[in-house]
Amino acid sequence: MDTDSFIFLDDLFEPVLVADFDGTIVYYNASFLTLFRTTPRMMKKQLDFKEYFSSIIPDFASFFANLMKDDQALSTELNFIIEAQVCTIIVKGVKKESGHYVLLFKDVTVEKLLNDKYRAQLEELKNTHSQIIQSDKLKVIGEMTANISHEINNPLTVAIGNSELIGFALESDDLNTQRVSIAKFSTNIDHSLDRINKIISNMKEYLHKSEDKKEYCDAREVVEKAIAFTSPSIKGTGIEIKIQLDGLAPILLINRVKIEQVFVNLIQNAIDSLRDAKTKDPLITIELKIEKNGNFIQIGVKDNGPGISKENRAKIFNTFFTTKEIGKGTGLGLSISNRIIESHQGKLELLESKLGAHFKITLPAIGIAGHVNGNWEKLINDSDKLVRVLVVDNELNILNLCMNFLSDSDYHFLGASSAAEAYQELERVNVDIIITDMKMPLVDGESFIRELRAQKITVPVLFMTSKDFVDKYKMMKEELGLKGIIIKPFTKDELVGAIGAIVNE
Amino acid sequence: MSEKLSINSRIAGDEVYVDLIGVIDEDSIFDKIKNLNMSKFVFDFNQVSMINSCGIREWIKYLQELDGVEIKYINCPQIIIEQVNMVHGFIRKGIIVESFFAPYFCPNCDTEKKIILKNTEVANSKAPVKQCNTCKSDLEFDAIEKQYFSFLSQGK
Repeated sequence: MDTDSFIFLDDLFEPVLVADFDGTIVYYNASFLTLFRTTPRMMKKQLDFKEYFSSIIPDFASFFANLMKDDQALSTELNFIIEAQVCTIIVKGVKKESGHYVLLFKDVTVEKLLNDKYRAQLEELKNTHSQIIQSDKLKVIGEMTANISHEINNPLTVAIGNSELIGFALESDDLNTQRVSIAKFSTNIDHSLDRINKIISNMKEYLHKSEDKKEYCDAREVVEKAIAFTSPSIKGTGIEIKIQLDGLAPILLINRVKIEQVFVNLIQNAIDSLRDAKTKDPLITIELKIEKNGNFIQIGVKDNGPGISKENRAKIFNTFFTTKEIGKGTGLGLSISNRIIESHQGKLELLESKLGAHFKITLPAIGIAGHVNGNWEKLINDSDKLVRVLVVDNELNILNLCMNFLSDSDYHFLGASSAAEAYQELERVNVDIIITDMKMPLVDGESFIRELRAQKITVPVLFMTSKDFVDKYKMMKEELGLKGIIIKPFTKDELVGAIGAIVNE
Repeated sequence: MSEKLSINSRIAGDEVYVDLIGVIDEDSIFDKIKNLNMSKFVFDFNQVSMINSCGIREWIKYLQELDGVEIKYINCPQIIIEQVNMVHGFIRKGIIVESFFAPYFCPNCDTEKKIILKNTEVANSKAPVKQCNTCKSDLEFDAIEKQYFSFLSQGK
């Protein structure tokens, strides 16, 4: 082997092999021998490098075909088995004018194994995390089962009683005289069964709904649902739960079931604390407010119980830390709640308070939340190219529908539930298209657009409203520079098509 | 899952003798031989079946715990030597590789042999002449000498 001209490759860490165009191996370095578990003696027996590699690496032939075609080639990851061990390499090949093929090998076996292991462990962690969340739910359900069965018993008793009354009424000789009573008994049964159905549905939804989808929700409704869920626990305790809210309820972009779980945990902890301490005039206050700049929603959950001792305050969010008796608490509730709030880019804090425990949840308000929702990769990589569509509608169902429709499109959805929120959004970011409802409380669609145009904001606008407003649209079209109208109810194609038409313009 | 590393250690006089058995990789834990507060360590690598670059990193991290300690490596197999030749730090200054395995070949018997060598037997990266224990003929060194013995200069 004439190695003189390649001697400088001896000190390379990377395995290298050089061969003549006729296939004769003329050089390899020590790293090559280590990678292929071979020796100079064995390499002497190899007459043609293509045959040698094809006998070891199953996909070498296709790599070599590329090298022949383009004078240089980079392989994908190639696997081969040597001494009962799977190795993964990447090969770079170059056809040199000197009449040689130079092959450089990168051994990525360790990286690949680590990557596979990391992925498997991450999957395991995810599963464990879901199991922990599920076990926390089961704990809450377990604690409430007794109360819930009592809740169900009441309407069930009413239903059975009314059923009996129908039976008595049917025994009457003149059924016509009983018609009104039977109808009333039947309605009572319907109401009772409906109530039982709601209790069970709430439980089932809480227990089984775990998808990670966010939706626009009325903060008050979320809190009220959590209160309703915990209400069986306060029966007979004298505990009062008050919601404090000035003005309209804030709108949240959240995973409703998960945030409900946080409120259930906080309210249930307050109930347990007040009940165990036998507090006089026990009260839980839930305060909803929008931070003064309108960027964040703050929700306080406080009670007038014994509070949390100084030494426990630092540990309160630790997993498995509980102050409850053995068997009563898992120590998971607050740590899970903390993680849920963090996953919403929010913060859960325990505030200093003279009386009772006071937790504060801070969540991004509708505008900020819209920016951090969606496909992050797309947001980061294509920030300049993104077409931002601001949908303004006080009906949260419509916002959620538009968000879902645009989620897999090329357009980035931003939501606002009022003209005021829309103005804020326009100050914060360059919006490309506005789609607004006509009928909205406080400031309607028309006034909103008039104000925009008065401020020289020329963003293209689409109206999204019912057929009844078509004539009005025609009248305002030229004056306000409206681009079109999307008639409710609309399909995904109609929405995406209407936006696409403006973009193509 | 790969075979885990197990460690046997014994203290004799003022020396700690450590047998490393199995795979040295990213999962290897050396806690058992930490904080022994001894001044001399002898590590026997004879039963190490595999070592990867992550394992070498873990080993180098462990060596930092043994600052100022006299260290000897014995019975280093070929896989260790090959890795050591590629990653710096496995043999830090002052560490003596007292004995190691080297690949030889008997042309007469057509057999590969792993012969244990003392560091003192290798001069100027030249493999010492060894005889086949079966036919007694001279063995051929079965690697690139300069590359294979390059690790010997690392601890100096």
